[in-house]
Amino acid sequence: MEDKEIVKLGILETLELIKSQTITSEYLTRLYLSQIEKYNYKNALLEVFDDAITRAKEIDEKIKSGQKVGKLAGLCFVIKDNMLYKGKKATCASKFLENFVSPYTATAVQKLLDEDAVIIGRANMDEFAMGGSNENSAYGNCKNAFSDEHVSGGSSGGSAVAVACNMCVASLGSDTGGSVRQPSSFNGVCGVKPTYGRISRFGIVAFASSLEQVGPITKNVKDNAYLLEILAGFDIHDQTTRREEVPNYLDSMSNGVKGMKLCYCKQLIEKYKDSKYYSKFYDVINFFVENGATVDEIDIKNIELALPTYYIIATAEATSNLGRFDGVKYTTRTCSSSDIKKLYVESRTAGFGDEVKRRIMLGNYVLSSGYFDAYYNKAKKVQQYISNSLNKVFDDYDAMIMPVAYGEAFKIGEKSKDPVSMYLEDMFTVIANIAGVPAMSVPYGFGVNNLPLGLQILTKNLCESKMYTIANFVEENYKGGMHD
Amino acid sequence: MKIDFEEIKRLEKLSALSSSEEKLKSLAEDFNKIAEFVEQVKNADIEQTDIGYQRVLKIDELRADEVVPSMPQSEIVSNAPEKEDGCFVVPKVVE
Repeated sequence: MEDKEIVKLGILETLELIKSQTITSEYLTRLYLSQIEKYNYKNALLEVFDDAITRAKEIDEKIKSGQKVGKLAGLCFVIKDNMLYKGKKATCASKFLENFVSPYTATAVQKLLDEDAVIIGRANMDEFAMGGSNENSAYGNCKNAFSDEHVSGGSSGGSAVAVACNMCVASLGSDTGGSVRQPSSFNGVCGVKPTYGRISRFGIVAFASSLEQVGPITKNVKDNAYLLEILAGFDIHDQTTRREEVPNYLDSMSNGVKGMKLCYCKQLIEKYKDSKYYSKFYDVINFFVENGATVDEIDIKNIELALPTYYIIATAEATSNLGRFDGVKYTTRTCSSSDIKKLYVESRTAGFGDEVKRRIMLGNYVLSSGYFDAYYNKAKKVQQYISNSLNKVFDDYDAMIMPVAYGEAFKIGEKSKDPVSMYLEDMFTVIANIAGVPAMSVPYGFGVNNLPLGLQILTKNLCESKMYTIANFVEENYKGGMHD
Repeated sequence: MKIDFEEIKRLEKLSALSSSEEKLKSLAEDFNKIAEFVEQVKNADIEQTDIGYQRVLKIDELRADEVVPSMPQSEIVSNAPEKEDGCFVVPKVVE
């Protein structure tokens, strides 16, 4: 097999090549490194780890000497820049953490290492995961894998572009309001936000703790199922992780959608009417029907409130979580004043970018006295209301189908001047975070600019297998694209 | 609801941030657009619902209260801009 074909392969196929000793991990790692050299003008990776080759050689030794190796032996992964990997920098694409070196390793990253993976680098993102275009990175935006004029999406833009440009076999992102699914949609790869609590958040720099989850980004659906099984599970260091046994997602996937009960939400699809791809959505609905599923249009009252509710809860939590960045504990101190308050204010003002500042202030607004009940408390009630409504839907239906975003990736600079238009990008993705249910973006074709489009599939809590079954069926019939 | 300039200044202080007048004015503009957008939640007509803290904090099994090795002090302060004898150095706050 030619080198340029090898880097396009997914986890399961590459693993075969390594295990059969057709290629070594060192050889594979060097292929990705040359791929990075070629494509990282996109700014997907903020750092390539210099010990990747050494680690690959160690794994090669293990394989050669016949030792038992892990489920990801010798494969190369990229992690988002908000994930800790001991001894390596993790900056959250913020100036504030420019020199922060991880003192320990995140559970999700450790699980990759425990299965003998090679972590090849850390990926660009919106600062502290706040944004949907990767334009809020303090280290420059990340370009779309398919076009240098368009955004990568965000906040896990670098993680998605690294997979789409074959700089790694798969990557980790984090998803607070769509930050894995939207960039996956924009770059033609598969991205999952699992059930809340399915993957440990220990060692992931917190933005909005009650909403965010680590999510795998892969080249195909089966890889994603395989990777989620490795990443999922209870963690003593994260008491919000779920204790339910992790299924073998690959084996529990079934064939086709025959007999499945699917639905889409009327109110949401009305919001999609102005999209160029409105009719394309119905094409895929018809496709499900032709293949033996039933698809109903359903009514979910107040679902459109998910988006403003998300911005209240997320900013309130961000305000608290980012309070720790004060010029005392983490790297940046931009003041030599003997006044501690001045030290806090000056360090924070110099360290944070505009969007982060906006969100901290909005969080303080919704939490401040006089507004707390009207905004934060009310938002928590609306969250419960939407969550209850969605759970009721999943009593009757196997899955809910919706777009990931209004369309394909937008142009760089197109929305960065208007924060609300950027927030509206998250309309379809925040629902899964607000309700805590699993959701996935799977490529289902291309838009008018030849940029990829993603279809979103939501299922009941802990029913990821069903989500994968449907996504796999779509993937095998609506081919996404990969970069050469 | 219009958020006036004084309110923006108050929020900035609460956030331990500081900007130039000019920057704050442009921020106030953005902020009003955002506040208008989240206003719909305040006015939402939903049936009485219990506040959903349970989903996040549902802990039915607590961690055993066992002594386990913790991170060494030197590592905890390793990222501090100023440190001394395993402690964070801050300006004097008590007289």
